[in-house]
Amino acid sequence: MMTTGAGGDRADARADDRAGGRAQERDHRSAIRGAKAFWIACICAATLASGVAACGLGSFPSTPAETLRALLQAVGFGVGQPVDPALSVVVVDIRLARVVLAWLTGASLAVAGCVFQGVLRNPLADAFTLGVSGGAAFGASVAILSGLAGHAAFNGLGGGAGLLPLCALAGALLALGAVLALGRAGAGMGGMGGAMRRETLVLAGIVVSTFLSALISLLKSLDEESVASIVFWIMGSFQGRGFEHVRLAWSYMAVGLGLVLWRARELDLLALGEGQARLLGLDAGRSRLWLLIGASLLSGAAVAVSGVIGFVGLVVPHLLRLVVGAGHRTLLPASALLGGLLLLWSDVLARSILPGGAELPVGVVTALIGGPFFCLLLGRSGRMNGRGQS
Amino acid sequence: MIRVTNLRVRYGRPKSGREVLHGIDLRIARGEFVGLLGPNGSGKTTLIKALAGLLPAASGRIEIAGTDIRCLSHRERALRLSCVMQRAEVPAGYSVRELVLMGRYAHTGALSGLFSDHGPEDHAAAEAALKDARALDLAERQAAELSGGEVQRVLLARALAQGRELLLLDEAVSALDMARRVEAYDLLATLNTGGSTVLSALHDLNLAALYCPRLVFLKAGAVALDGPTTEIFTETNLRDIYETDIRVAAHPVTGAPQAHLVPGAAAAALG
Amino acid sequence: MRPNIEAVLAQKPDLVLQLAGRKEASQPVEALRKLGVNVAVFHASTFAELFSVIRRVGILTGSQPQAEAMVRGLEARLARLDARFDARFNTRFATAATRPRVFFEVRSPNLLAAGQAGIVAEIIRRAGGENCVADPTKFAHVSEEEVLRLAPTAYLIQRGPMNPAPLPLDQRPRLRAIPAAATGRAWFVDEQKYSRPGPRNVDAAEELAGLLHPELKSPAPKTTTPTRKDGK
Repeated sequence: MMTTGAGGDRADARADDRAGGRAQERDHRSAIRGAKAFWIACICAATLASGVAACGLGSFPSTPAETLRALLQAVGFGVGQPVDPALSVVVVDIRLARVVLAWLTGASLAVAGCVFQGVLRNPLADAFTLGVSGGAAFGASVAILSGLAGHAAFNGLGGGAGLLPLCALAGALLALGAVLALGRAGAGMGGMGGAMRRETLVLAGIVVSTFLSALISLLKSLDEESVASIVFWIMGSFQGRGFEHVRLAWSYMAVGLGLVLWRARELDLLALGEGQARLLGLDAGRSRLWLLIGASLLSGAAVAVSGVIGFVGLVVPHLLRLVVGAGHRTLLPASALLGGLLLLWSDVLARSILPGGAELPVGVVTALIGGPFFCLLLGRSGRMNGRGQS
Repeated sequence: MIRVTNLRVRYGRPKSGREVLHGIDLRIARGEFVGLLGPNGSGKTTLIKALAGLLPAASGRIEIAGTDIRCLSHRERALRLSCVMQRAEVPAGYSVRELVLMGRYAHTGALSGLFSDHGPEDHAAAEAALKDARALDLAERQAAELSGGEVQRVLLARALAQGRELLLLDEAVSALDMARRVEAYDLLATLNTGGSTVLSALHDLNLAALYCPRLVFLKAGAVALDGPTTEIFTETNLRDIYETDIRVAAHPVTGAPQAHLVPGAAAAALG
Repeated sequence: MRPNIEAVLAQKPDLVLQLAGRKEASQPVEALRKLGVNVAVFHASTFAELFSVIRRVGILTGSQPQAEAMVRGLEARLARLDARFDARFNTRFATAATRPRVFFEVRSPNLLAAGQAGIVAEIIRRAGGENCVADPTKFAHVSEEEVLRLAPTAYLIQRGPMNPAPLPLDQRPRLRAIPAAATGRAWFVDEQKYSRPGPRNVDAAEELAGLLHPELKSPAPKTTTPTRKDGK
C-alpha cells in the first residue's frame, strides 16, 4: 500500500503541474507562433529591401537616389525631374523585371522542391529526381526545334512564344505521368496492392529523366543550328528576360502555389507514410496526385521562363526545416519567401560579379551559394543533435 | 460495431495474389474488448489492415457500425475508427503535439489548408489524448527523438485524438516495457468501460487473457477459436494452435488464466 | 562543327586547310596528321593575317601569282578606305571619340558580342567606326544592361548560322533606349561576310563604311545593300 500512496502523491503533484503546465504550454505555443511570425516578417522585409537594392546594382552607373526616383516614376509617383530614359529602362525594365522574375522562380522552385520531398518522403527529391525538369526542358526543346516557339522566343516574345511554357508544362506533366505509371507498375510487381513505394517512384524518376536527357541530346545533334538556343535555354539564366516573361509565367505559378498551399496539411500526413496517412483519413493517392500536379505546374512554369536552375528546390526546404520545423503550413510559405530571396540575390551576383557586363549562369551561383551554406547548417545541426542526445 | 462476412484478402494482384485470409467471419458488438491472437503469419495484421481500410477485400464484406467499408470515404472511415499500427514511422521535424494534432485531420473541414488553424476543440482533444496516454510531458519534444516506448504512447495519443469510438491496435504495446504495457492496457480497459470498442492484435497471450473478456484466435488465415476468455483459454486449445506444450494456471491476483511455456517442449514435439 | 575524320579521308585530300581557333578542331588535326594527311592550320583574325594566309594558300596550291594579285587588290581597297577616314579622324583636332560606337551582335537570345580580338573589330575600325565592346577576346557575353551602358550609336546584327532568327532592334523593348535605336542606325549584316575570315571581309568593311558614313561618298558596294532593320 506504500506504493499506492506514493503513486497518489505523485499523481496529485502531476495534476498540479498540469494545471500550471497548460497555461504555460499555451504561452509556449503562442511564443512559438510569435517567433515564426517574426522570422517570416524578417524574410519579407529582407525581400523588399533586397528588391530595391538589387534595382540599384549593375554595370550601368546609377546612384541610389536615381534608382529610387526611377522606381517611383515607374509606379506613378514621379519626384523631381524625369530620370534619364536609359536609366529608367535599366532600373525598371531590366533590373526590376529580373528581380520579380527571379523571385517568382525561386519561390516556385523552392515550394516545388518542398512538395516533392514531402510527397516522395525523400530528402533528395527535387524537380530533377522526378524527371519533371527534364520533361519541361524536353518540351521546350521540342518547341524551339519545331519552330513552334520561334528562335526569337527570348527576345521580346514575338510569335508563338506563349507556347513555350505550355510545351514545358506539357513535358513536365508527361514526365510526371510516365514516372507515376512506372512507379505503379513497379509497385504492382512488388506486391503492395497498387500502392506506390517511394523508392520505386525515385527510380522511375531517374529512368525517365535519363531517357529525356538522351532525347534532348538527340534533338541537339539533329539540329546543330539550334544548339545555341537550346543550350542557352537549358542552362538557366535570367539574361534578356523582362516583364513579358513575368506575365507569361505568373498565372501558372499562382495556380500551382494555391493548389499546394491549400493541401499543405496533407503534406504533413503524407510525411507519416501512406499507411498512416490513410488511417488518419487522407485519400493519399489523390492527395499525392494533386500535390505533384501543383508542384509540376510550379517547376514547369519556372523552367519555361528561366531554364533549368538547380539547388534552390533542394537547399531551401532543408535549411528551413532546421529553422521552422517540418510542419508544411509554415514550411511552404517560408520556402517561397527564402527561395525567392535566394534566387533574387543569386541573379544579382550572376549579372554583376563578372567584369565587363558579362554574366554567369544563375544556376552556377545558386550552387556556389547554396552548397557551402547547406554544409555549414547541416554540420551545425548535426552537432546540436549530438549534444541533445548525449 | 464490426461485422466481417466471409472476408478473403490477397496480397499483390486482386485475382492471382497470395490469399492470406480465407473467409473470415467475425462480429464484434459495441463496447467489447477483444484480443486477437495467433501465431506468426496467421493473418492478425492483415485482418487489422483490412478492417482499417488499408487492404481491399478480394471477396466478402466488412461493415463498420452498419456501413459497408467500401462505401466510406477515407475521411468518413477515419472518423469511425482509429488505429495504432506496429512499427509506425515517425518523420523528423515534428513536435509530439503536432503529431498528435494530425489525428484531428479527419475532423477539420475539406478546406483545411494554409489559413485554417486547428480549432480549440482540436487542441482540447489533443490535450486530453496526450494526458490519457501519459504523454503530456512529451508534448513539446521532437517526435523523432523519442524512444520506442515513448513513440507508442504518442501514437496511442494520436489515435485517441482521432476518435475513441472504435480502436484497432496491432502490437501497439510490444515496444513498451512491462510496467508501461500494463499502464497502456489499464488505459484501454478504462476507455472500454467508457464505451470504446477495442480490438487489439497481440502476441502476449497473458496480457490478452488478463484484460480481454473475449479472444479470437487466428490460424493460417482463418478463425480457429472465438469465445469468452475463460472458456477457450485452455491448455488443449493453446497447444493445438501454437503446436507446443503450454500449461495454463490462474493469475495469483485476478484469477485470469495465464499461459506458461515448458522449456524443451518444441524439441519434445519434434522427437 | 567537329570535323568527321572518316568523311575527310574519304575525299582523299592532298591538302586539308583548317581555321585555327576552336579547341575541338585541333584534335582531328592531330589525328589527320598522324594518318599522313597534309594539314595547314591558319589563323586569321586581322587583315594582315588574312592576307598572309591568302599568300600561303597560293603557295601551297601553286597559284602564287593569282594570290598575290588578289591581295594587292584587297590591300588597295582597304587603303582607299583608310585614306578617307585618316583625313576625318586622325587629325590633330578630332579624336577617336568621334568615330561611331558600333556594337556587333554575334548571337542574340543569349547575347554575344564581337570583342576586340576577331576580324570584326578591324572591319569596324577600317569602316570608320569603333567597336564599343572593350573585351579583349573574340566573343564577349554582354548583358542588356551593359549594352545600355555602352550606348552604341550603331548596332549591327549578324544573320547566319550563329544567329539564325534575330529580332530587329526596334522589336526589343529594353534596347530601344540606346542611341542606335533612337537614330535608326541598326542593320542586319551577313554573318559569312563579317565573321568568317576571307576576301569578303573587305567587302564588309566597304559596306559598313557606307552604312556608318553615308555622308562620305562611298564606292559603289559590290554586294547587295543590307536590309535596314525597319525594312525602309
